[in-house]
Amino acid sequence: MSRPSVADVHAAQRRAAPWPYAELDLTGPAPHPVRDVVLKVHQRCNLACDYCYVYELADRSWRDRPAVMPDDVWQATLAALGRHARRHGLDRLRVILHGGEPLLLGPRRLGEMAAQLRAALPDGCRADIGVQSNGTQLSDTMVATLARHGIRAGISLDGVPADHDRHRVTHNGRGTSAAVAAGLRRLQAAPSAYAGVLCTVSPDTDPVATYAYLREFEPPLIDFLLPHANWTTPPAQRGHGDWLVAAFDAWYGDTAPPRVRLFDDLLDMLFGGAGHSEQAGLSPIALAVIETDGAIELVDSLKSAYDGAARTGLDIRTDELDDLLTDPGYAARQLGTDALAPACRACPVQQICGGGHYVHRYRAGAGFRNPSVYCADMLQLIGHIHTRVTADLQRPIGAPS
Amino acid sequence: MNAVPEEGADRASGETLLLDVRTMPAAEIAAARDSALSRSLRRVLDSLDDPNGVLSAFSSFASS
Repeated sequence: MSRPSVADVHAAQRRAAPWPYAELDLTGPAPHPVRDVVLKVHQRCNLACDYCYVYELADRSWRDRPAVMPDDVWQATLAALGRHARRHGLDRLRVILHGGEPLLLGPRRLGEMAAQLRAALPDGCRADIGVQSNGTQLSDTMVATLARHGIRAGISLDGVPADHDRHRVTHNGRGTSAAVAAGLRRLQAAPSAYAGVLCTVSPDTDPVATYAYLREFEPPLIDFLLPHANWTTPPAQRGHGDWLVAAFDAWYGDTAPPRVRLFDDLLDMLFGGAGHSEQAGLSPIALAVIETDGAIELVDSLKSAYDGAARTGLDIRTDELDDLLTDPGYAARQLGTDALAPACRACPVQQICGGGHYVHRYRAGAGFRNPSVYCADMLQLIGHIHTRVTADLQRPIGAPS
Repeated sequence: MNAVPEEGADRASGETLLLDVRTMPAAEIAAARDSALSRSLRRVLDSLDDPNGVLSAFSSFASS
């Protein structure tokens, strides 16, 4: 299947998302070079999670793509990453092997890829290599390979077994919690290969039990992710703010809490610091995705908004990563407050919320310059954290909270 | 339970929500114990020396 040209892709993007594609002025400062690269090394997955943005939502592009990244795409990707790092003098590049389920490649191939990635980057540029997995393929051999090659695994776990098994199932409908728990135990014994755990928020679950269960696996980091939704396709459930508030209280009251990225970020930003994820804050996003067919794309959670939302029309075999820097969809993620809707710019928590996740701002026919569809939930959570921390700061040091 | 908001509706009012620690012993709080609060203060203080700390991470990967 032939790929549409950059001009054709931008024409389609202008129709679906006038902001940024038709309305953004690109004459401002040059965007940051790419610092995070997501490589879709294995397109297919052994699970059929009901909320998956790759297979279950608006986008259907996976059907036309190779199941596994072919060697010509892989070699072109290595060369392009090396050129990009040299051109911009990067001292660090985060490379995330993603899918589908990337561990389906097997330990030997993953080890080869890690070694080739590091060899492709110039001296002085460190590759932080990660893999985001559903956790069902973490055999002893796999975990040992990840540790040996300096690959850190993030695992998706949606809470206690009964909750996890309602959403994260095999193609036969079988729950996967037992397999994931066994894999996480192996990662606990190999901390250098353990990045953390991602959990999608579901308001019909118990947030305190969810936090306690995730904590049992001693992850270096937990993140709670709001399910992808937008103004055209609203969340299937309500009450995400209540859930996050209860989870925050469980975490905040913990005597030795693990890192929870969303909560840590909101706390940091309330103190005037910067956020470090896409869910909150105004820090720039400098991320490219390379699909198995060589397409250079934007963050693939955009696929939850509309079919083709992540497309740029670029190809790693014929284009440079620098060509991505002039894509309106890439530049739009680095504008800070200039990317926010007027309502957000008038909001007192704009510096902390940052408009929420860009993907959650979409409205068909308008694009991405809207408040998040989770606006009320974010306001509730930020207000709660502010109140709780303010009370603590007024308490004498060492006094119980 | 929250309703899904109308766009731009139901905004918080009042002044900025940034926490003001100017009159508080921030260094003592940061050193007090391994609570989420003290850790956060330490991170913010450390980030003042981190020129690469402004870039955000891909949310579909569990890493800081």
